[in-house]
Amino acid sequence: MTSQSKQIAMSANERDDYGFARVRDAAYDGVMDLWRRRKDQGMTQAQLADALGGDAGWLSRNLRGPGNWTLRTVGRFVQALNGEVEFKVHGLEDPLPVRSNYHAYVGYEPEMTATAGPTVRQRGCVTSSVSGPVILKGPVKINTTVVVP
Amino acid sequence: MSIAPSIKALTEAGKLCKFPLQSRQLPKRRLFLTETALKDLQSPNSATNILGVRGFIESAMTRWVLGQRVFADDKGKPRFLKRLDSPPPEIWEIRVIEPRVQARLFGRFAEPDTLILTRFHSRGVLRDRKKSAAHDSEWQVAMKECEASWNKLFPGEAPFSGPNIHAYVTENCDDFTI
Repeated sequence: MTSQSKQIAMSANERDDYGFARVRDAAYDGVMDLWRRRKDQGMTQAQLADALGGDAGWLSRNLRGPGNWTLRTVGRFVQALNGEVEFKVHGLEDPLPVRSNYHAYVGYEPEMTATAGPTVRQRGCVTSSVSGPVILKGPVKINTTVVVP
Repeated sequence: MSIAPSIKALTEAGKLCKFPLQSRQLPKRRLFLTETALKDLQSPNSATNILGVRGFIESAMTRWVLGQRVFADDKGKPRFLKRLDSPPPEIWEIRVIEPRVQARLFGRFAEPDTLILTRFHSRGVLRDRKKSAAHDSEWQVAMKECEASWNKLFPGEAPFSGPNIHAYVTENCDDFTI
């Protein structure tokens, strides 16, 4: 290993897995954000299980992590939590709504400066939230959030 | 004293590599890979790549660097990031838990929010921990290997140690026992 330029890109199948995992994780994070909020508001896991049709085992399995989550899983949780899905896909080149001065690698890398931006390569990435209608806007980056209608 | 200058020097020397984030967002946590970990990630012949989980591994590392949730399950057990039972001390794993094949990314904390990954393992190879002290289990061998990698990179420097998970992961982390 001599530099990051020698790093080998993922294959098409690996990119598929990466894209799937990022979208699924984004959905999981969005749903869990609303679930934490509902818990703070007094909702119990038993109540959530009831809202999901009484399947406590299914609920417990899916609260452990996003490993087996599908779009149906997301939809069930969003409905049971009285939420709404909002889905947005960004291009990696799109500017951030708020530019932050914080960069975790400042001081850790030879070439890093306080104004350096992220490394952008040939493909996409995902973050999360859930609420409302699906809006696809560009080829690469996805945003998901769960909000209360 | 910060370990950042050591990491910077090791990066310059090619002994450590920053995980290349693919996002328009700025990194919120730090992740460095040793030469061995990078090989595990990229070599078509590595144990993890033979099993075809690289995309999921990169997704897990992206979660870490972007500062996304370090989550526990509904019973408070760590699911994404876990400190393994010592000895050796302060060996952590990122858990890549997928339907097909699971992987474990071993490493140590250099500072809060700063992970140094030393090696990737297939969960199938890391079989159940043996209770007997007569032989090391695959887990113990892998943990000792992680410790040895650390000592080679950072001779005389102990890994970061803190009283609870929030000392290691300062933001967006479930409250779980380590």
